[in-house]
Amino acid sequence: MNKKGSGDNIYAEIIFLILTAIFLIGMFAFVHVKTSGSAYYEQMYSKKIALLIDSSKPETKIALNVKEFEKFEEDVRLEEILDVSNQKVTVKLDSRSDGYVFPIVSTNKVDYQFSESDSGLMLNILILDEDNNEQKS
Amino acid sequence: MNKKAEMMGIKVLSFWMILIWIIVGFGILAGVWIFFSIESDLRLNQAKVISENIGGCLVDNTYLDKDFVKDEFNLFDRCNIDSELNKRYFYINITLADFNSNEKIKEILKGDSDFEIQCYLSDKSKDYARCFTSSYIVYYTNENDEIKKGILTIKSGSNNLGERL
Repeated sequence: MNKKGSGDNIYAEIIFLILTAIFLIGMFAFVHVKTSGSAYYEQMYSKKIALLIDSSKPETKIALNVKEFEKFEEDVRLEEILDVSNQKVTVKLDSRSDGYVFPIVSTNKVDYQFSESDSGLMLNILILDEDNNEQKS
Repeated sequence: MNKKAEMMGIKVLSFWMILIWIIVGFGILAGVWIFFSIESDLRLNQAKVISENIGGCLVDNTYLDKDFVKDEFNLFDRCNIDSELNKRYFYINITLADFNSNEKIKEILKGDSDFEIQCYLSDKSKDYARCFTSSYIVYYTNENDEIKKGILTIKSGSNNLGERL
């Protein structure tokens, strides 16, 4: 009788451990999805780039490490990731979404391109001066 | 009898176990939500950037742009700021006052003046705009080409949280 009772306890313990493991995996998965998904990086980079542009004077060169973009390259082409136009910065890292937009106040035109470096993908932004604005338009 | 007691023990354990999971789960959800909601609010940072950028554009080594007091002075061309400033998100109020008399020499205002109230009450609600004010003691050139001492106050507001398309 006692043996049977201890056998039931072992089953209960095993079920408890399995359910606890499932719960913990679920929580880790939730935090992982929230912190590494495209939505998080779209928001983070659109705001970061927007503030950099707003705070920069003409002829400023900015190099920003965007190595996180590499894991979204299979889904979205590199040239579609960033758009700076009409006083808005838009970052799109998921082909199913239209991206995240952050308005800016600066009217400075910007030129940007991606390049590879030892530390990963880099975004090089050049804030154009008035003369370059005229040349571009 | 023993078996019944053990079964009840497992039931009691199950209840507490589920309760603890719910508490831990809510704790993690709340933690993640609070962390990301704080990170994503850059309204005060943007207001500060706008204010300091205008200050850097207008003031050079304590001397205010000599054209500032003129009627034809265009802040938006001078500082590369969007003249069609999105009133939903941004507000700019620049005031030049005489240092001694405190008389207002010039004021440039762009955006919704409701932001003034929102800025004043910004600590009451997270929905109100965040504002930043910077002040400079400057030397300005008046209409008679005299150099005077003044106080330039630049107040900027942002209610820009960004949006998912």
